[in-house]
Amino acid sequence: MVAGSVVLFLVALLGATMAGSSQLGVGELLAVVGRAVRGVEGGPTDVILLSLRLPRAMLAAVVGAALGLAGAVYQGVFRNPLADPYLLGTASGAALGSALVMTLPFGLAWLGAAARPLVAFAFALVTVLVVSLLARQGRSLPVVRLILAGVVLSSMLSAVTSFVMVASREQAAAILSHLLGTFSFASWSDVAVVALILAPTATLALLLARVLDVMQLGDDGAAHLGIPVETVRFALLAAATLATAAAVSVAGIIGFVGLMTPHAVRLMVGPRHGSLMTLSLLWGATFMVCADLVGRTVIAPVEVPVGVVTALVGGPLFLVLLRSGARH
Amino acid sequence: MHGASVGYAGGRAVLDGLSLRLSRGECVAIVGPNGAGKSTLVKVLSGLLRPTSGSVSVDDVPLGALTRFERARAIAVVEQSPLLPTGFPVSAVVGMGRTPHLGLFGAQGVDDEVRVHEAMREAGVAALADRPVETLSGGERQRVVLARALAQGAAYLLLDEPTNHLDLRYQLEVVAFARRAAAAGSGVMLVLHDLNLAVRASDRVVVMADGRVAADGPPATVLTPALLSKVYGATVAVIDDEGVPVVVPRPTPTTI
Repeated sequence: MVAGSVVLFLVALLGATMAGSSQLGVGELLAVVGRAVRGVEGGPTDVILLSLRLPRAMLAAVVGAALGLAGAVYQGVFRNPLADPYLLGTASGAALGSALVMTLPFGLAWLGAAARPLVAFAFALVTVLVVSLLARQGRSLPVVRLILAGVVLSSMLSAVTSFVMVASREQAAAILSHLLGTFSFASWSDVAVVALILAPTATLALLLARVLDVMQLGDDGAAHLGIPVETVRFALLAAATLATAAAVSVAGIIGFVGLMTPHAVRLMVGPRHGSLMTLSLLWGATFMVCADLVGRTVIAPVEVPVGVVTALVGGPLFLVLLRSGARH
Repeated sequence: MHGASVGYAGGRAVLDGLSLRLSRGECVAIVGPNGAGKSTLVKVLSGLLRPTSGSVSVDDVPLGALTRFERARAIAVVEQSPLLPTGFPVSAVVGMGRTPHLGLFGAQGVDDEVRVHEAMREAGVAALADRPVETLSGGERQRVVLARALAQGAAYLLLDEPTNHLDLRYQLEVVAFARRAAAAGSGVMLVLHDLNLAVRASDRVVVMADGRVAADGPPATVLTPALLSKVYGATVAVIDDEGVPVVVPRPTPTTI
């Protein structure tokens, strides 16, 4: 399964680099790679591939992987198949942060292009922190209170974000377009940032895969087996939230991937978190690369925001999967 | 456990200065009316709840001095309504019992697999190893949970109402399982509602009422009509069946 998924991902990546307003054949691809390896300057084809298509596809891949993994972790920690990585307010925090940067007049020019993602990331983390503080009861973080606080705070922040958009007519379209998710302005530094945050968080989550299985026995059941339930819950949620915050700060609020990727994986291979998380990473990446490819080619030269694609394409795809019967 | 008290904030004491002893090789039944504090007792004994006063120790080591995994290696608990995650095969659920030996990051080794298989055989679920747990009957699921507790390899087994919702056959199976575990050297504690099952299952019965021990001794001595009527607030008679006391409720006009 894993090998097959890796192959699928690589095929998707290949397709994403080849397709577009100027089709690149495999021969041209190899030539570009050859020139890059040898350090030789190339022409426009090299620019298209190395500065536009490849970083864009790779960003889609790491963002998709981050959201897929975060979804699997959230669903496991909350023991709830309706959980998605935006449950604790990460997305609404990032959205508000982005909207404010794009509207307010203060010069954050010294931060340059990194201003918006940085502020979005900060807002995302602060939001989750506030949610955790609101939900705290003594020394523990009860699950129900977490979810309630997350949902309530998300609504409030969304309302404020909407107001910001209404209050600033000129930037409203730009804000909306960003919020729907886009990889159009992907740069290698974006890829590096998300990848650097995803690497340790994914590693931690994968190391705790077996523990997450045991947590499905319930808080008492897991505690009786010696698991420090509160600590593990906190560590896993922190890891998943960081990965999600990185993803949405850079790429906007792309829905559906975090919720549905783990479900699709579960239908195919079952609920054990080792395989569930590994494949959620891979399938999230593949799905996002394909969604972005579809978004930029289907009605070219107009780009459909990738968040729209994930919902419109992912939904029916998932229903087909559901109907074709599952192993479990 | 010695002189342990536990209360919920602002309320009455759920356990009130309770002292209890469980030894290896014996099977003890805990009985008592609803609200007597039986489940709380299990939580305090297993370390999930800390008593506000008094102490709990395992083999003369205070519970608080043990790490979580050490505690889980010494005491195995079967909760009242255990959650079994959908989609997991029986062998995986029983395998979770090895967690106290594997820690947070360890993986199952050959030795663990052997223990898991032995536990499944002893509990009678070896043939169901690959079946997803949600496809099993209530009785089979209970066997799986018992197998998981066995796989922990702990010296002490605490079973909280393990016979709820089970038919007669499975109830007796659980009793037999507890007896065998005690005979094999474990200290087994069974919280039971059914007094007659308690008689069959144990060498010693502890009757709890209002967070205290009302009686503690061999079934025949402890289960007297006088004590039971007082503790349960219902009229009972105790008759003899081949040397074994049987508790029979005798409804009066004032009870339904």
